Formats: sequence, structure tokens, C-alpha cells
Amino acid sequence: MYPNREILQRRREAGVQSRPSSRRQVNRPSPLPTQYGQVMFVIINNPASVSFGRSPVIDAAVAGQLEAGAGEGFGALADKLCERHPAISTNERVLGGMPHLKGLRISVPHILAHLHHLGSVDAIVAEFKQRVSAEQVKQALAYAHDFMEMACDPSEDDD
Amino acid sequence: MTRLRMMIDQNLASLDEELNRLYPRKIKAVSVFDLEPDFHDYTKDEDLVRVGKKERYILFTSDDRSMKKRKFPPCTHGGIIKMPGMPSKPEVLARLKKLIESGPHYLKQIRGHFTYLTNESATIYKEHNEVVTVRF
Repeated sequence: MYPNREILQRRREAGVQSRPSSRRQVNRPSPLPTQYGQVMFVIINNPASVSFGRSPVIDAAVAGQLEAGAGEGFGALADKLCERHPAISTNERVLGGMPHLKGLRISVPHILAHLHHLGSVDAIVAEFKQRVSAEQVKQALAYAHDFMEMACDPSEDDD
Repeated sequence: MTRLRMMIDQNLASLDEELNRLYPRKIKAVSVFDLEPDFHDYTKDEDLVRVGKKERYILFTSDDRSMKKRKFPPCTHGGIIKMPGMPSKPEVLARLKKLIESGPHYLKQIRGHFTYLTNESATIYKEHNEVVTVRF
């Protein structure tokens, strides 16, 4: 489903009526909101009022993303983690902003895919004909680990 | 004979050597690793597409995020072949084999256009919203 359609779907489920067009004045009763719809309605209208991580409906990762603003939460986390992993960087103009090995066009997900296909760090280094070092691959894996951990447990920052 | 000049993105590792070995008369492949950095380091998407157009190379990539036909419409580059799903090397070679076996009629149409290459088909997006689908 396209993101815009997904947002529209959520708004529809939450009982939020889209603005009627000037040509076609729609005046129908809003559908009964479901539990999911109610939660989404609150988040869409007032994100700060929701206690993220405690809702049975919205998981922590989505909540963290919504809390920081649509689509910006994970981007900010990706940038922040680059400070901890100097071999990784993000740039809007390289691979569309995907975290990647610094100075190369190899993204962290690509490293994970190569690991899945080849099975070891040494095999990845050999596959890239030594143009990528084992240290770079390990940093990419550590980055992916940290990203997952922090995205799924945003409360870690409070410790 | 149609000989494809292909520029292999870094995320596909050493695929260029494999392609030159398997299809010496049908493909001339170079790796983005081998581009000499000048005032560009050729890691940026736009730089890569620009050099592909200048040198008439078809960019072959598994980057699904930035290489979009809306961003790089047909006929504004040397050609882009994109493979969704980050496939393994044997799978990439299998897809390319199917594409090559589809014949020169289709291979010619890849130049300057945007192609999605999957296991089942190749979809070539051309100018004026023309779409050619090659079923394998």
C-alpha cells in the first residue's frame, strides 16, 4: 500500500473525514472508530499526548518514529549512530540517504544481504576483492545491531 | 550483434569480472570501483547517472531506494537496470541470462531506458509512458 493511502486509511479508520470538495458536499456520519482507530486518531491529532512504548496497539519502533515526526525519527537515529560507528555515514545524495560504508556505494542493508547469502565476513571481503575491509563489514553489522536495538527500545537513551 | 556496455554498481561486488568472463561478446562490463575519481568520487547517485550517460554505460544496480524512474526519467541517462530484493550473485546471473536470451530486440530497448529486472520478467519503461514487458 502506498504511504499516502495508508495515512488516508488510518484517518478513515479513526473516523476523520476528509475535507469535502467544493463540487461535492459530502455529509455522512463518521463510522464507529475501532480501538486501533481511536489510538491513531489521538496520535495524528496530538502526538505528544501518547505515552509511547506502553500502548498495546502501537509498537515502540513506530511510536518512536511518530514521536519525532513522520519519517524523521529513524533518519535522526541513523545520523546519530554514525557518530558511534565512524566507518558508516549517511548522505541524502548517496543511495537516497541510506546508511552506507563511508566513501563507497555499499549500504548497511547490502552488507546484511551479502552476509545472508555468503555466510561470513571473510567471504564478503573476498567477494568485494579486498575493496572492503573486514573492519568495515563488522562496523556495518554493529551499526545494524545498534539501530535495531535503539529503534525497538527507544527508552535506552534515558539510562 | 547487440553488445551491452554495463556499469556495475559497487553494491553488486565483483559482478563485472563474472559478466565479462561469461558473455565476452555480449557484455562489456566495468565496475564503479574502477572509475577514476576526479572532482567527483562517483558515490553520489547523480554523478553516477551522469557519467553513465556521458560514457554511454547502462547502470546495473540493486539499489532500490534512490534509483527511481521518477527521479531519473527515461532518456535522461544511459540506461538503468534495477533489481529489487537484493538478490544473491547466482540469482543476479540467472536473471541476466534470461534477459540476454530474450534476444537483441529487447536488449536494444534497454539503452537509455529504465528497466526493472525480476525473476519472472523485465519491465522496460520508455519515454512517453511506453512500457515493454518481457516475460521469461
